[in-house]
Amino acid sequence: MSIDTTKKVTGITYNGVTIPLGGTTVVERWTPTQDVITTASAKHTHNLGYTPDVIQIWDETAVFPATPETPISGWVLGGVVTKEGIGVRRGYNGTTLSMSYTNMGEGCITNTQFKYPTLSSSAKYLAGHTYIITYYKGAS
Amino acid sequence: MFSKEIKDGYVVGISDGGNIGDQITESEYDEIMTAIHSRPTATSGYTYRLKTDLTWELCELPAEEETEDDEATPEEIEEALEGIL
Repeated sequence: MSIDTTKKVTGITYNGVTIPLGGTTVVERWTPTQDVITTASAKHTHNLGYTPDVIQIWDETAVFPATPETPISGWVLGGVVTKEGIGVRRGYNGTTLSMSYTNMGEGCITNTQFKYPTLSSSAKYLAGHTYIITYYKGAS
Repeated sequence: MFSKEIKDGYVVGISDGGNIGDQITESEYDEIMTAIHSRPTATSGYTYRLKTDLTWELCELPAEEETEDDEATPEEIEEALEGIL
């Protein structure tokens, strides 16, 4: 499985407001050594130097279809950064897609760091899987 | 840029392209990735943690914390994904 890096994201609409993209794109590949069930302690810091508008997370290790044991497969995570938090795409099981919005709390999203989106306890980042995290920042 | 995150004496993750802690060389990144791929399978209730000497240590798994499950409606999902998919 591979990510389509040629796909151009031109914008994203959230709560009726369209965020134009086309500015900076940063790609990171992150591999945890332990299963990470996102909690307040499951913090990951990426020194971007700016606040991204959109975060997409792709599990490049997982294979379809997802199973109860491996609930995260492929491009199941994506985040729209807002002042309220990050809208998280989760729960893709091959046929349905669901998303939750989690208030990350004061200070979780700044111009230099943020916590990974909080997922339900039934979903987690899997040890040994490599997640491609793409940070999009629209042109200012 | 390659980096690794160390917490409480364990390597908790590595990154290619990000800055999650200490900067490392590509060769160290590859070495840790090799160790990750040789992670033993733990029995139920236990997990393995990667020590900084790149050996695995069996540890009891902490209890899972419940998190809020605020699921969006299909309309919210469609709206939020517009422009991405």
